[in-house]
Amino acid sequence: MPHLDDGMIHALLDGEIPSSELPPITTHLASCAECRARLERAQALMAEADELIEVLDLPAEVEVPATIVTPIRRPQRWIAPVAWAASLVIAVGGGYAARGNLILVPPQESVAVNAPTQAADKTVAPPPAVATREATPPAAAPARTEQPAAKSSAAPPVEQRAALAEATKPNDAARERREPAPPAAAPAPLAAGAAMGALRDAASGNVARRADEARELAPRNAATPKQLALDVRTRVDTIELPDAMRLLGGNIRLVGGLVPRRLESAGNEVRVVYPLASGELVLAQWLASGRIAWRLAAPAGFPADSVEKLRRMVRE
Amino acid sequence: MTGPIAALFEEYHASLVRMLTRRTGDSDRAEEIAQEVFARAVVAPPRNPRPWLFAVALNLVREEGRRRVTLDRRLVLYKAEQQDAVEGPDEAMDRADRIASVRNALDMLTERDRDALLLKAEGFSYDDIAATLGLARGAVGTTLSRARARLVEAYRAGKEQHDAAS
Repeated sequence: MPHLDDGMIHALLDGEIPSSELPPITTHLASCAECRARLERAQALMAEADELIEVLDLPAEVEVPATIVTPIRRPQRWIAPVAWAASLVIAVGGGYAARGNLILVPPQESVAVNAPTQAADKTVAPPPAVATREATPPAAAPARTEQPAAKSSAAPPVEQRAALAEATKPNDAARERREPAPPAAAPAPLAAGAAMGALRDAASGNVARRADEARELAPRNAATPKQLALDVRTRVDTIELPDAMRLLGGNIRLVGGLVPRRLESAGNEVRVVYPLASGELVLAQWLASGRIAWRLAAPAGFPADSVEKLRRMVRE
Repeated sequence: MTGPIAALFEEYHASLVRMLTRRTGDSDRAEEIAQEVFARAVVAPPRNPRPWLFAVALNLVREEGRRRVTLDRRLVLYKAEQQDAVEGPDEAMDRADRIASVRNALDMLTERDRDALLLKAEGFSYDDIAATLGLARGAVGTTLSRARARLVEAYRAGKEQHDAAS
């Protein structure tokens, strides 16, 4: 048998050589010092590579304060449409009034995802509870908290691979013929570019919705566009599940299978906000004649037929 | 959350988020991408979920990467400012250097090599790696051996450069 190539050596150390193919390999290793040396080097290399990858899991030493990071991460998503909606209202309605108790808050506080209540507390009484991941429904919580614990099971210890006998043991589960990955199932194109971000809300009806909200909130005194934009923005409060359910008469609708990022109240509307890579999925709901009415708004780039299917996953 | 998606979530979410965090260096993004992956799984439940979930996740990373270059650049600038402002203990700085060196080394790999390595680190079999990345099964060993060697080489080279500079 010729010398073992690198791929074969790594497959051997990874336990991926079927037992039927092992005899010639072990025979060769027994008689070839060169291949044994390469096997040892490969083993050390694998251990080092594994260690390097695990370095990526270490916490970064300098924590960047959330108040600084969050405005950079997702500022436009929220401000732009609301400000746009507000100016739209002004243009259409020809003048609105500012609320007497309006308190201006720095933009970064009012949009910071992790600190929305700082802004809300200043304008709304009683102050809403702090929104955290704990505000997500209980069913979703365990999976998250298990994350660190699951680590050990996913990445087998390096020592386990060190023993060749162990490494070459056939893995029946791994031998199963797997169907090929579905390239067709790969994600649909996401919205590209900042311009798409601005269009996103228009497409999903958010602008119209927020314009409606602004209209509902129509204050009585004259206001500058800036003041009004701030006013509309601070009317959205982050709330906890019990509050959301109380607002909706003791019930709430959720998208089955998804974990909400936060719950918001805006006027008489409760919104369940789900994070997606391409933006946010918003399940807005309100009481109409004692029953919950709702609508679902997805970011642009999320396929329309998929939104339709998600809509069918909405349940109490 | 009930039904098969809940089971999928339970089984793969932590692993998927860890892989995505390693891949992107950003745990928030990792969570968001994982969320979208599961949203898509709700819509079209995959028959072979593990490769499907990870393939969709890696595709999202690629697509998102193209859109977020500018944003990332700004974030890095902010982080750099913060690091100047807050002096951490030496040990912590060493760790930060180490993480940055590994990330740089990982970034020097080809996409396929990097993805194969990260999937293997999640305990993927060669069959699953092949299915996720659309590789021939026979090519997985070679891909991994090359990826491991390049990662270690790139890390060492970066370290030497760093040591020489400091």
